[in-house]
Amino acid sequence: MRLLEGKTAIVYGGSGVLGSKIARELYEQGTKTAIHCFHGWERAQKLAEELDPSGKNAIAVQADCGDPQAPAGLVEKVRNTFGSVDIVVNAVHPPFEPVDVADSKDGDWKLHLDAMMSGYHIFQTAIPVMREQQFGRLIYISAAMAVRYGAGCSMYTAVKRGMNGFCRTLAIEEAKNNILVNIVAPGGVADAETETGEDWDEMTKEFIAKCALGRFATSKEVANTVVYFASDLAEGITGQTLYVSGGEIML
Amino acid sequence: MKNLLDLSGRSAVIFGGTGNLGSFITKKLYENGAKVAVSYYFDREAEIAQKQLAALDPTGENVFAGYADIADRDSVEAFAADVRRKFSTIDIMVNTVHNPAFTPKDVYDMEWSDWKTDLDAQKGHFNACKSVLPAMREQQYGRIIYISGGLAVRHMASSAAFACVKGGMTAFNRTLAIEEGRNNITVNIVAPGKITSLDTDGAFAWDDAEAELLRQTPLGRFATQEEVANTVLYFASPLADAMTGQILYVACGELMR
Repeated sequence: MRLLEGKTAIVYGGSGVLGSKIARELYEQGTKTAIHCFHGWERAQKLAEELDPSGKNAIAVQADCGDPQAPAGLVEKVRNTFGSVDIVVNAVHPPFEPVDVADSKDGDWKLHLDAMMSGYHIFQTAIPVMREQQFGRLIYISAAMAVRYGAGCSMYTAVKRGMNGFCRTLAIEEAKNNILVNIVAPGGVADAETETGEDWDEMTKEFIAKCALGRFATSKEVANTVVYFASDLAEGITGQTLYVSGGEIML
Repeated sequence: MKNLLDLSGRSAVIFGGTGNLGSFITKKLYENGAKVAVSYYFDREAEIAQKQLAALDPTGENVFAGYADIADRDSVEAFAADVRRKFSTIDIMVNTVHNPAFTPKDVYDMEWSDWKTDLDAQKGHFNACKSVLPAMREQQYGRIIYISGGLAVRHMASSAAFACVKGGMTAFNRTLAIEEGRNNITVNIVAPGKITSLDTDGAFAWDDAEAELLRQTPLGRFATQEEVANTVLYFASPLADAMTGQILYVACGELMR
């Protein structure tokens, strides 16, 4: 039994480590999937081809979401291709260099504020079609850093926390249109490179010690949480956050 | 393609599984492959349990019902032992017991004796957890799911004891999640807001309060028992293997934490 049979999705940031896993899981659960990228075109294309060599049910799409016209065009394209836009996942947040507030400059905010603005565009441009459908599932990939903090990450944390508030406001605004907005907040994620744990440094080991399960979640488990919020199991659930963190975060 | 909700081979204990909500949860877990054992307390529930379980599995092989007074440790242990004898394992434990519906009373009018049903429910969850932990540790696998309520986090007059227990049990469950995480035993909380088809007469004159609550609910409706059961299924399923100490408010957006 596949949980998302017949659904359609756009995964923004779908060429990234986490985004690509989310795209893969959504596809495998029966979703026609558009894999969005900004810089990672080759990766997005490769993933789409791998998932569906016919090119019908998995496609790669490119857009600079800092420009609202770009995601709007993308939504239109996906709707024309797949017939609907049921699920939109925002997994966009580029990697950044940590910097303490004392050492930071105005310009250090740019990457984070761009991610925030992109997040706004990504959800806003999906609303008209979702309202028309009277069905929509918006899922924001936040982070444990929205609620627990670390030196050098002030800007990142401000955006993640702020976007949680944004998502809940949107959940209230669009509930009457059966558009649900939920948040997946991963803690440390064991990706392919760190799966064995052998090469983990002291700081990482310290983090793991704080995880009740004694391990990080895997990127597949983060993707599974997205699948849950997108599925019919969660029809009565909106404005909620699930921390996928092996029990590190309990709120 | 692996079914991410598949519970086949798992066995589940549902304390209060004959109740209004409990029977939905029992059915949901059974339909997704789990063997189910329900506890009942009142005599009249014994018959209900038999009927309910016969409808699920006429052979009786994968279903079980037994008496348990959740506030009595020995009684709960005996029930859990029976379940283990029948199914060999106890993989999932759901506690839906917080009964009977309390009589609303302001603190001003309360006596300590008015706390009894709530304190029994609290002790009941302790007993329920104690009764399944040895099996779960042995298996190095366990899924404990506690049915809390919106009153754990948003409060209203005349429900102090109930709210106290529900709020306190959040802390209890998270502590347990930390203690047992290394044994791959997860502990999660399902907190329904108001549920549509639950019988509420006797507890409150809902009319005005209900209309007001509905107004505060973004989806413009209350969740159904089916949706609460779906949330239990989620926490019990492989989808939630990395989740512990978490709360999902099944409240159509009324509660956002």
